[in-house]
Amino acid sequence: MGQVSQQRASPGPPEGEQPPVDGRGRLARLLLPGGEEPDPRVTLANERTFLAWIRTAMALLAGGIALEAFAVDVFDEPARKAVAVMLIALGMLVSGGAFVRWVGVERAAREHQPIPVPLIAPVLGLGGALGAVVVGYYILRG
Amino acid sequence: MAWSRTWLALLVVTAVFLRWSPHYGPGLLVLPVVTTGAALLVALTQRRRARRGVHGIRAERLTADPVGPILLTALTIAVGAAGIGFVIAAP
Repeated sequence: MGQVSQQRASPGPPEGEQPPVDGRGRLARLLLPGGEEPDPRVTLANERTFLAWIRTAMALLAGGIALEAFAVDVFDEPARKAVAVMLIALGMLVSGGAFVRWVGVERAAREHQPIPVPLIAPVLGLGGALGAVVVGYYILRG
Repeated sequence: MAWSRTWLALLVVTAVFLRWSPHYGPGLLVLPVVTTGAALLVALTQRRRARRGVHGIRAERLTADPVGPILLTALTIAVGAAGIGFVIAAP
C-alpha cells in the first residue's frame, strides 16, 4: 500500500525522457498511455459495462440471425433480409462502440477526467425502436 | 458473473447458428465452432480473471488488460460480418 502511494505521489519523468516501465503490457501502454492507474473498482466496473454492451451486441446478432432463420413465413423476403441485416449491423456497431467506450472510460479514469457520454446508447435506442416498428408492422399486418 | 453471462450469451448465439446448418451445409459449422471455442476460452480463464481482480482490489492497484475486450469485439464483429453474408446469400 505504502509503496503504491509513493508511486502515485511521485512526479512524472522530466520532459523528453522515457517514462519508466510500469509493468503494463505493450498493448495496454499503446491504448492507454499516460495518467496513472485508477481505483481498481473503476477498472472492474468499466469491464463489466463493456461486457454488458457486448452481450447486447450478441443479442442483436442472434435476433437478426433468428429473424432470417425462424420468421420465414411472417415477412416478405426483402423486408426480412433488410431487418435481419439492420439488426446484425447494429450489433456490430454496438460491439465496436463498446470497445471505443471501454478505452475512453479507462483513459478518462487514468487522467482523472469526467467519464465520456455513451454515444452508442442513442444509436442503440433508435436502431432498436426502428427494428421494433418494422417487425411490429409486419406481424400486425398478418 | 459478467464473464459467465457473456459465455452463456456466446452459447446462445451458437445455438441460433446451428439452426442454419441444414440450409447452408457443413461450411456454416465454422461459426458455431468459433463461438463455442470462444465461450470455452472465457469459461476456462474465469478463475484466473477473478483471482487477478481480487488481488487488484486488495493491492489497490489493477492494470486494465485490453486483450479480452479486443478479442471479444473482434469476435462479435467477425461473427456479425459472417452473419450478414449468410443472410444475404440465404435462399
